[in-house]
Amino acid sequence: MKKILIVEDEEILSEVLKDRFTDDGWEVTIAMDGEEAMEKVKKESFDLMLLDLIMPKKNGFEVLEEINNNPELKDLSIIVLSNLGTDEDIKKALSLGAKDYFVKTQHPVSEIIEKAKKFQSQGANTNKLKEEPTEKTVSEEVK
Amino acid sequence: MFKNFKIGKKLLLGSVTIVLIFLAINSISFVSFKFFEKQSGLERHTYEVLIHIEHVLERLTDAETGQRGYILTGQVRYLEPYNRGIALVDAEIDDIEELTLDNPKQQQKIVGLRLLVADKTEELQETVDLRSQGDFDAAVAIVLSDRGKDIMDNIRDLLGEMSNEENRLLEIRRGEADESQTATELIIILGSLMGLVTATIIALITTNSIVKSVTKTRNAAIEIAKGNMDVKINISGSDEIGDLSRAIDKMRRNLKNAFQKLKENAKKLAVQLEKTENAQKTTSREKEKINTILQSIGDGVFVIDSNYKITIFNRVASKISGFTEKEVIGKRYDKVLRFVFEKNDKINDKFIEDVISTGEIKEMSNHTVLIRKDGKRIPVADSAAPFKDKKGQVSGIVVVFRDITREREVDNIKNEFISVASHQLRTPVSAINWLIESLMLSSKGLNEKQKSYLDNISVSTKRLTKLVDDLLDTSRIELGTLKTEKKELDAVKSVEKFIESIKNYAVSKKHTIVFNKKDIESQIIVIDPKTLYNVLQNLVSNAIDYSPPDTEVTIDLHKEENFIKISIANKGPIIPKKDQTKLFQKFYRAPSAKKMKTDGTGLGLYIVKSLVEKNGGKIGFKSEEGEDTVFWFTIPLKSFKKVEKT
Repeated sequence: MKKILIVEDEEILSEVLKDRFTDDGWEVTIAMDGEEAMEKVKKESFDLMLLDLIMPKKNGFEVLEEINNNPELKDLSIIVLSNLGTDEDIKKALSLGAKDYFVKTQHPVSEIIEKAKKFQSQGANTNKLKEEPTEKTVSEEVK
Repeated sequence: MFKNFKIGKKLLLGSVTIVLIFLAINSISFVSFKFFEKQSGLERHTYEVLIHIEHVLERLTDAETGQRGYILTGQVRYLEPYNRGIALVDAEIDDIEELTLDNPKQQQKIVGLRLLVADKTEELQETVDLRSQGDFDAAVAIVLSDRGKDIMDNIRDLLGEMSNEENRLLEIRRGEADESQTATELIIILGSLMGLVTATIIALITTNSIVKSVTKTRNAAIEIAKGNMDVKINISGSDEIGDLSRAIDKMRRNLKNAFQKLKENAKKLAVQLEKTENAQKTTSREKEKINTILQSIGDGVFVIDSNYKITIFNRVASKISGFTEKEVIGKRYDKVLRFVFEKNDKINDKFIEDVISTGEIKEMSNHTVLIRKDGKRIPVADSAAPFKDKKGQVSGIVVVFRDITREREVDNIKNEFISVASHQLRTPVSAINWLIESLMLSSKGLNEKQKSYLDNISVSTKRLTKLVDDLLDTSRIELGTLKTEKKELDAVKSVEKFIESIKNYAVSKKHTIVFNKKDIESQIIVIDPKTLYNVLQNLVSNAIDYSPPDTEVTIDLHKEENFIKISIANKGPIIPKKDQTKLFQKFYRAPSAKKMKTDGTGLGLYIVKSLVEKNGGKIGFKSEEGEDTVFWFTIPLKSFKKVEKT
């Protein structure tokens, strides 16, 4: 079973995501903040991480940086899910190793699941990402 | 006439005249002298005649004395004076005759004399003969007869007459000779005097004529030398002085003209000088003013000349950089002021070089840092502008910079606000979106009415999402934090790609999109790709939304000078004139548009306009009765604008 860690401090959102991913056949773990997320990824291995950026204790960028700097963890695929949408934020996240970046308001959950599946089918724990972030995803960020 | 002679001629003429006068005097003197000489000759001649007359009497007396002695003594020795007397007396008379040939009176008397002398001689001879014959008594008788005495008396009388005649003549001749001598002396004296006077007069005239002209000329020359250019020299003579005076006069006129011209030029120069001085005064005043302004400006300002040397450095520049004015003036700016990139500390003063090479105002690139004198790093911003000389050459640069530490902080706060706003606004919206999405997946248990509610919630949420996004974009535009990154793109390909992405939406609205790219092939434009997408998205979706189903939306692309112009045309109703001017205003929605589409935010066109302009383009539209409504925008071509990062 595919394992996904959803890092999201908004309970309503994490719950929706958990339900949908579970329905799609994923084993879902929730972390409510960055610190918790780091603890969990160090304890267990995940196929994919959905990462929010604005969170208490440790924000998403710090998590990305930490994972990026940790050789044991850097193969973990991370998709950023955030409501920050400036170029700077997107670039920064991608440069820190995020595989893709979704602005929450602009994408239905089904789209996120589709993307998650793609990464998963390429095989988790591969550090080489074949697919570039989608044109639409990135290009719509300015909106 | 005389005036017209050359000086040499005048002098020659004067001299010749004087010589001629003296010659005349000499001739007259000579004639006088000759006359005098002749008179003297005649006088001598008269004396000779008188002597000969005396000699005649002496010879006869000698002869008579001899005769008497012989008669008395009978001694022959007494015959000797007698014979000599007789022998010479005729010669004496001959001489008298010859000497008085010119005097008929005397000639006549000589004839008488010769007769008397012959008588005497005869009487004497008779007696002598008688005595020699021994007839003493006869001889004495004759002597005593007074015959001889009478003859002698006659002779004496005649000779006396002749002497008187000669004496008379002598008197006359003496008088004439004296007269002649006096006349000659008078002529010589008077002639000399006259000659002297005439010569003096001629000399005076000649000299005067020369001296007068020379003096006139000299005086005129002195006047001219003094600067009086109006003094005229009226010398009409054609001699050297005349020539000289005319030459001087010509020189005077030329000088006058030259002076006149000089004066005029001097006047002009004076006027120019005054102008220049005024201009200089104005310039220095302006300079002072500019300096004061520069000094009091709240930004750091420094000015460099064409050799990159700092000529002005204001107080704020000192304050920001830590260098005093003294420390930088006259130095190359890059030796003291180090503008570097914030990231890597590499020198970042290309904007100054660019001003020189392009002659245009150039902005500092973002994230420029000035290294202070004390090594502290100060984030700075602003620009460099050229100032040009009359020929349009860049002769210096004004660099304006300001400490943007505070601006950075404010920017950070703004960005923070946007982030927070984005996050805080979007989070509940995302929640609603996702919940509706999930709810719709399991809507089997809902009745139709409930399903329709759900749809309405979904539409409303989408509107809310769009409104939030637009509001955030607007905030970014307003706060100046909207970032774009320009890239080189192929215009045709970019538009084709966009059409692909919106095709489904068009189909859903029963529209077809026609791409009219004409003969445009590869044209490289410079624009932020997201901006291009957003602008197209906005304008094309508007074209679809605001036109009736089953109509075409045409996208036209063509080159217009240094731009690519993209036009989007639809068959929608025209935009009323009263709405046209407000179309790009924030939150403005035309009443006609509201009727067709209720869910617009009124921000789309405002955002699009801002985005287009931020990328160096223009935007506009045309909506007239009976024609397609066309919205267009332009994008700079690569050939026109180099890629710049903003």
